[in-house]
Amino acid sequence: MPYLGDEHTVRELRRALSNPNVQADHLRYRNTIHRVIRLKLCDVWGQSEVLAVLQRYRPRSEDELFDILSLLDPALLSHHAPVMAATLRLFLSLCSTLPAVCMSALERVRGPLLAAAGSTSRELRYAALCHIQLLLRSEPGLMGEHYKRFFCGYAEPPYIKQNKMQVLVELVNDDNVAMVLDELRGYCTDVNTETSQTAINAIGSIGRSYTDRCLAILTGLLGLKQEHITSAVLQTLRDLVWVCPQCGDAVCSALEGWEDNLQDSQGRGALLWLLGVYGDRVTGAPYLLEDCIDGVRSEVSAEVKTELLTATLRLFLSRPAETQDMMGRLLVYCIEEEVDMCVRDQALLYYRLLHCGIEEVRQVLQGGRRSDPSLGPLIGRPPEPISQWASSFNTLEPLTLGASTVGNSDPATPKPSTLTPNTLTSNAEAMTPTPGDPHLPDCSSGALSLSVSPALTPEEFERLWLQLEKGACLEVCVYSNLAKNRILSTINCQCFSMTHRGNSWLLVLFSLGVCDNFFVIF
Amino acid sequence: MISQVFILSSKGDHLIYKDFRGEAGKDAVNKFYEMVTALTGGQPPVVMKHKELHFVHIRQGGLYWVATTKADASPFTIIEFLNRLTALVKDYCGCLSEKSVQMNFALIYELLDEVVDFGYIQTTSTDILKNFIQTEAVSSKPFSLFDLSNVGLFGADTQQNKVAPSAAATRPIVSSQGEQVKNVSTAGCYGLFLGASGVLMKADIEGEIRVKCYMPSCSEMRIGLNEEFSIGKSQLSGYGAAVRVDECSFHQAVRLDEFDTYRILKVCPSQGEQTVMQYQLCDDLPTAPPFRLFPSIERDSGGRYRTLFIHVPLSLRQSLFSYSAAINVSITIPVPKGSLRLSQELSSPDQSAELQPKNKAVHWEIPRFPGGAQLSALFKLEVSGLSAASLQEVGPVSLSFELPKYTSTGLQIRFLRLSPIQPGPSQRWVRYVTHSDSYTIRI
Repeated sequence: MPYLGDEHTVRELRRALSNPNVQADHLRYRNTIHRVIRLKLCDVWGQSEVLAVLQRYRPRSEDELFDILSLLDPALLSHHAPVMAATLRLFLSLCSTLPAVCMSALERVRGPLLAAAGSTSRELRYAALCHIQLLLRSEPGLMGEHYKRFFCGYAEPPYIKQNKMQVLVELVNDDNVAMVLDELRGYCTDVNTETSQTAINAIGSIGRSYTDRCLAILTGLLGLKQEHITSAVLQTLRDLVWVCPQCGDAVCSALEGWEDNLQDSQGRGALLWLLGVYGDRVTGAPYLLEDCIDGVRSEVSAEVKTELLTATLRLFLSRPAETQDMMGRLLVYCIEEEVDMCVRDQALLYYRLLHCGIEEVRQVLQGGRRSDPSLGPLIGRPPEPISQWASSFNTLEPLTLGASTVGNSDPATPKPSTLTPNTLTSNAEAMTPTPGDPHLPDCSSGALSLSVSPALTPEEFERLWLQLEKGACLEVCVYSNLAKNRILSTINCQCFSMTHRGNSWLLVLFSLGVCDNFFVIF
Repeated sequence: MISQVFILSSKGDHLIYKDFRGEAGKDAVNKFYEMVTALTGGQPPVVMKHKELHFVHIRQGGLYWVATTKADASPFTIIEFLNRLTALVKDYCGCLSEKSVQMNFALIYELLDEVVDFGYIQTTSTDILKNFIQTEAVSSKPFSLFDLSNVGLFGADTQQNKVAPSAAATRPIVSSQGEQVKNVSTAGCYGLFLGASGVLMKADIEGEIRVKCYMPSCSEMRIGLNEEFSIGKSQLSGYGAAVRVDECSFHQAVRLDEFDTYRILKVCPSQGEQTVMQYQLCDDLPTAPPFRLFPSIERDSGGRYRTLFIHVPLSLRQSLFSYSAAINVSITIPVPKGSLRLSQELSSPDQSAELQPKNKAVHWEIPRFPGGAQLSALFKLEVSGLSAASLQEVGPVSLSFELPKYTSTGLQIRFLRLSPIQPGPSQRWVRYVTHSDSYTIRI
């Protein structure tokens, strides 16, 4: 039993909880609870235990609710962090139907939380920071004027610095953007590589709304010519360009005199992607690609090789004369000597695509999106309702969640992938049934499994099939197996089995679609 | 609800292990050490999860203090409990280190028995605990107050010296009736950011008044602060330097009935250390920053283009420091990556400077910095691959220092009275100190 301080209090509580008469008489029960709520008699541990016990009590009327809240009010401002956190959790659970009360409770608890975020104990600081991040999800403007408290001290451990930087990104507004960016710029040259990468990513996130300033800082950082900084900047620029295509000019001028040799594979992948997309505006692009192609034998990472293939093909479309030769060499190497099957298949695909004609290539590679402005600026994200995170406040969950997101240095931007399913969307869908096909298992569940009893009867399927419009009609004169294979591979279908009777053919094909749908076609 | 508590050394040696609820096995200890050493630099180590068990730990004194829990407990409670536990062990054993924990393991087991019952935290206050703890603490170096009285110049008379060395604050509590000593120390942590043009970007002070009481039974103590002490931003400062803080919070046991009128705090301190008052002041400091620094960087425009000159004149403000000095001042200047060699010109032989390639920084140590003095150093760095952009890498200069006998807010303790008057001789010491928390100056 927790040490509630007074024997009298414990006795009363025990009596109240066991006596059915008292429970029935709500007035007496309420008085007993009030006596328990005289928290000042307990010490810190007793108070937090009592508050945890009170989570289970549901007040019978609104009057009682407000009485309890007013009694607990001073505990909300307590400078003992456990008591303050337990009280806030109780407030949020009791007032889940009264959003105004919740909001005012959040405002009141700001002071003690900030004090905890500045305490001498690092672990307590970390816990307070994780909880502040929870609060900011519902009320982004809560800490606006206290942004300076989230500047990092130079001796703080890296995990606290990274958390603080994440919070700083959310607190940016027109007034403080200059100071915040100045501060983040200082962290980019930190000794610890992960901290500097997080700082660079933070600048990239702010760049979605304040593009010019952030671009200036990022391109300035390229001048330092330090491996980890350059790699992080390139990845950030790639993500930024995906969201704000208007940055293209600045990026091109940054790539103009590029001389560096990057070792990090993620950085090289980002550089190749940028060269591919903006190759027509960067004068030295073919020569940079040529260097990479010459060194492709010693390249280890499959992603870099795939990016190289796509970038070279893209550049070929805009500058054929300069790139034709190296394109050929690259394809020969990948098809003949490459060990990794994904890279080889990609090269084969591009080879066959080129045979189909330059227009097909153009349609496939450039028909897809080059940017996604719908991802939008960072600021202006709608605040979440408190109920979404109220149950995890004051538990270990925000701290363990923080562990998984801080380690991932990329903020939540999708990596623009250049894998074939994406680029061949327009062609693949021509031959497949509509995505509304109930045969398909739920993609979001992850693993695919065969279901023995199909959800659709054969009659329904036939009816649905006949209703479908013909997306495209591929008239094929199939005179040999090789031709069939080639055609099928251009539309990204592969053949399970095949029979023919006379002049008619029966092919079972399967294809991997955009969202990893598995289509089976007859 | 805490399931187990254990203490590990930084190498993973099991020092203390206590299981309260029998929910998890002893292999949790090894599992924790594996997980914590496998973490990379950026991952937060505070809370880790393995199957159903959560590990919450803090690092103090070079040791891992770990609590495990199965239920979804409050992180603030567990972290605060671990902090409080380390403070208790420090009170009893004098200092917190692997050696003191090893020598006092019986005491620590007894403490854990009393403090936590079946995973529920009972109490961590020394007043209540001292009734139950029987074991005596063993300290690594026996301390006697008689050592202090011999501090003095040779030839001077052996009058009781008015100054005790600061080691007095780390004495362990002795439960026998011996000397009766009370220490009150006011400590402030100074955090400051100065921007590139000398503009003060951010400055804040976090301070506290701590009472350490060695007397076994203590009646009421009254601490008087400055009369013009004011709290909050709304109050206007009058003539002269008003002593002001933004916020302050008091310990539960402090009685504030005389605080509004006379600024007197009344408290009955329990044996051991407790923080009586904590205060914060942001942005509107009454005094200018103590250290001023005007670094300048030049590239060698002579024959070799690979040298960087960094000139750092550093001065400590005169007015308040004419009779004292700052101690253990250390200045860190980040330098470009390719720095190879450093040569320096320092103004006195007891200072030292070295280039630390691992941290890419130049470290300048000054053991004692007299008030009002101006010291300067000239560093000559050879950097390979020096370019205009490398100058950006000479990053913000950070200082760490300790200023004894000084509080940046001006808070002073006017008097310290015990009532009723104690029968035996009791000694009272008051100590002021200001540490740097994060004193950074941009170039």
